[in-house]
Amino acid sequence: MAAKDFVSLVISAILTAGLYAIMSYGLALIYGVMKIINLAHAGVIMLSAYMTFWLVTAYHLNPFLAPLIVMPTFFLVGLAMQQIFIRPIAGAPPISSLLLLFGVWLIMQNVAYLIFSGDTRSIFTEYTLLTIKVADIPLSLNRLIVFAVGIVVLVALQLFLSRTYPGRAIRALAADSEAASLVGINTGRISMLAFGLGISLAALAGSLMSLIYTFDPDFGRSHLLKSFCIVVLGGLESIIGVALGSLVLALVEAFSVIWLRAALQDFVSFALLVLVLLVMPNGLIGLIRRQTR
Amino acid sequence: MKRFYPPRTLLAWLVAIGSLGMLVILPILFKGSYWQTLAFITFLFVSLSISWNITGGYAGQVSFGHSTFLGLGAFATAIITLRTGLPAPFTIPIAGFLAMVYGFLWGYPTLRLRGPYFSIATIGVGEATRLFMTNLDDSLRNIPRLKELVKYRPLTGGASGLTLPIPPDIQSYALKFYYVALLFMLGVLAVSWWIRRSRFGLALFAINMDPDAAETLGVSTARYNVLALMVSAFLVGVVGSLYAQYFFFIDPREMFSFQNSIAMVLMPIIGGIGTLWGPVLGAVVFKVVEDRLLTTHLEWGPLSINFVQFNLLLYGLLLVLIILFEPGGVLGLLRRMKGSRLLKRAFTPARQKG
Amino acid sequence: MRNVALSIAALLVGVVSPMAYAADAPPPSHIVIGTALPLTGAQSREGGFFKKAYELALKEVNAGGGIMVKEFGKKIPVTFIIYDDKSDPTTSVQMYEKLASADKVHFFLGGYATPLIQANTVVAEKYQIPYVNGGGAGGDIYARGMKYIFGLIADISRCSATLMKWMALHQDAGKLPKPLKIAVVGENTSHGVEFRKGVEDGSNAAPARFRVVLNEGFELNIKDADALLQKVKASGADVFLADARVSDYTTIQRRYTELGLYHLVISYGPRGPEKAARDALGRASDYIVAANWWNKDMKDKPSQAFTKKYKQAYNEDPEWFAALGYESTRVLFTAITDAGTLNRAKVRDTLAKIKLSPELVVGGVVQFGPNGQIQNDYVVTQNLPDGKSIIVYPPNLATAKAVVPVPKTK
Repeated sequence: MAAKDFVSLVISAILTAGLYAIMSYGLALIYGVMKIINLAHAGVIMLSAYMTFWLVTAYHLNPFLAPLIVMPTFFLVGLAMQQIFIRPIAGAPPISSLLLLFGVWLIMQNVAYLIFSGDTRSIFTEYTLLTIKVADIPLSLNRLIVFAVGIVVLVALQLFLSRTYPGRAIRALAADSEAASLVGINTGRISMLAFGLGISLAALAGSLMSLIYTFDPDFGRSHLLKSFCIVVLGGLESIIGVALGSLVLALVEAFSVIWLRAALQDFVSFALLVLVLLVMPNGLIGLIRRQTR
Repeated sequence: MKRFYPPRTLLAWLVAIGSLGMLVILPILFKGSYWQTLAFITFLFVSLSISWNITGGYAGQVSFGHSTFLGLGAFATAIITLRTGLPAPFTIPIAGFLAMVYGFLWGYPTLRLRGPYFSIATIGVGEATRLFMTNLDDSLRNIPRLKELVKYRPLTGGASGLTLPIPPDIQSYALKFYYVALLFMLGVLAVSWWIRRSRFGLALFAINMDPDAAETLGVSTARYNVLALMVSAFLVGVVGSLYAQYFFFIDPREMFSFQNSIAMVLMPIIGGIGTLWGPVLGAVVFKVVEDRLLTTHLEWGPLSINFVQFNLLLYGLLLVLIILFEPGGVLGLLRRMKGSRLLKRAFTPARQKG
Repeated sequence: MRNVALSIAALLVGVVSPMAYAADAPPPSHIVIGTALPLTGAQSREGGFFKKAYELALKEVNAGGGIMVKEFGKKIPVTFIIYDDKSDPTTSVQMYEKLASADKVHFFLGGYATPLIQANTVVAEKYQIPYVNGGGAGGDIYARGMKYIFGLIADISRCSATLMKWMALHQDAGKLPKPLKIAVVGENTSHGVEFRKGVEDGSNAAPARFRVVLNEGFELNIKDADALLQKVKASGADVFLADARVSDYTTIQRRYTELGLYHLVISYGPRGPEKAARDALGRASDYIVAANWWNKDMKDKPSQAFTKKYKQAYNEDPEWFAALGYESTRVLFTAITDAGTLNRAKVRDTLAKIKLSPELVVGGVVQFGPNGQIQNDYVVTQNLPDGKSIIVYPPNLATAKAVVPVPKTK
């Protein structure tokens, strides 16, 4: 492979990693703090894509400003979700929350089918096909912006989690919920906050992804599985872990195509998911121990 | 408050036998009706539901990957029949066996994972299997030594699927299959009933409630979980085989789909996970409601309401409501309504909360 | 024990109630034609076109009093029963079973698309009910020795063949090099598989003209087209041919443009001039060539008549789905009239021998091959900037000269 193509491949993978990271922060946060596997994450991504679509086509809003409206909206949605669905089953085994959120995802999907029909949508703006040439390699503007946002969010999240009270409270809750309540942290409120934050991050991802991909009510499913892979790979304890996990997955996928058929690219992430779950017990055992009652 | 209970057992038995009798006689009375096809499909789904329940309800391992067994069974039958000319019915045990082996292959490593991790792994396995089977033909074509396998006819048919030969006398064939499916469903029910009463079942329930405690008592969690998955896989594989023999056309994207796996999860949970009859109720509700919804269509002037999409929406809602309020599913709800303590003891779900 | 009874009773009640349908069978004073279309789900847009076309044909025939059936000596009005199959093959099969056994239809009209038709045609053959469709192009559908299935839609490999015939013309005119290196990719469905095979066969038949340097499939709903496009780029092809649904076409072509790829000819098989795609791609869809079964700009009389009727009725431009749907209905009606009876076997035989002209299909003649599928040519269109599109092949239908090769600075 020519050097230029190789570099192009690597850069493309890095940009994709940025996208994967944004997709996964929300999932990682909710999982880390509440030990809840949020299958409705895919539904939120999809709904926020539709919301962005609506904002851009009906109100001609600049697509890059859409997240500013979408994120707060879904933060509130997340708070509501936590109160309605998560709090009532607080003591139940983790499989309950998994199934519950799966049900919520089904509802989201089918409401979307009812309202929007199954047609594929896409958002086309003057930014869509723009590319910037860096060293003779064309880079998509959309993806560059997504990557930049990914970095910004990464830094912002890190700062939030380490420098602010709510952030540190969230980490405390993630580390040991009993101890956290013992030191006076309002676990109920912090859980709500964490969930809301996680959902709004998913909404950010959906909003940005709607500019790159075409979408329909089933949007988000394959992305969800990749996010699981990433969260398990690197992000159970830290946000930086998510970024690293995203990079690893993106690079593995990019280079696997050299040997594999393009059609089997998704196979790579599924296989990796299963492998990682089986083979990386160290990161998991501690959490699993905390899981079983 | 004193209530009068009629001789419960006698009445119940009469109704049961009567209903069963009707299921047996009706297709003869009404030849070739749509009812027959719907009943056949329902029998298959009831079987799927009960089979999944063995893994998901009794053993408590929620699997989103059961469509792998369905597809494997269907394709085993199709491939063997098309390539060797062996009459399809003889392939049924082979289909079940192959599905069982596959269950062992991916179950053994993944069942070591706890709860939700296992579930997620099964999603991965399910999707990976689907992709693999859909692309198998194309991939084989590129491997020189294995090229022969697909040279003259497709293996899995890849994206085009496989079509089985249609027998000349379709009406009597369909009737025969109706009874086969009915018998099989009753058989699966019997297996489920037997497991509940056996030591095997006892071990599963124990593992479900508290795996660590079970281990300390000498019950090998891994072994029993894998066995449960294998039994479940075998039964689902047979259903796949029956499906292929009745509908004559299968394609990998359909059979190994996530939709099928979801259906198998939803039915027992809605009906009452971990019980004997819960999965039956859940499957019947699932299929019958779906059929009603598919054919109901309202036209109010400019407004045209199609109830089709309400199908999965309804199940999503039911799932959420059930987890929030009545984890015992419809059966649990009925139980609560009747308030009978006797029934409560007999039909306690295998999974406890917390 | 009560629950046992309850469950069995539920099973019984649930499945017995459909028997009520038997009592509601329509009176023999109507000709009942049944179909299941994807009105919801992924193919709902295309399903909608078929529904509108079927209803248009229905209105027309009933306005004239119905179909003349010699056997009864009078015109009998027609009723349609249209079910929604949710774009799902299993549901489609179930619906056709229902149409056959509960609703007791006389004939079937087909649905859309190939995977569903592959599954539901088995039902038609099972019950021996003539099935005419304009939505299933996969050759596989007709390769199973079935007698009751008829398709007004030529098979996909002819799509690739037509594109190659068209490219050969330009080779002879010196606009394209000989031999031409082709990279072909296709979605992982029988549609895509046949398209790719058509290209392979075409190049094997004329090795001096064509050489296939890449032949790959991709999974539906491709999210990351980079891998695929990298392979295309690495193959050094002159021409890029693909077969994809609108959503994948959008994803791939966007990425293609962003990556700055270039080929002398780009085609996505039957996709190209759809409004949805042009809106989603903007200038990225310019100069793309498409080979299709019908186009609203076709100047022959039957096509123009149809386009006008459809526009008047629905206030939108018809796409090929509507045209073929309308045509299948009319062919079925004509067959019934010609057979003079509602006997299914006789109508089936009439369909097998039928030859109608002039019709709106490309080439003007409707005649089914021995396997039940029509063998007409495709019409090739090319997208021009500013949302315009022209017909470039066959020569008797062409509206303008094609722009070949694609201009370098787009």
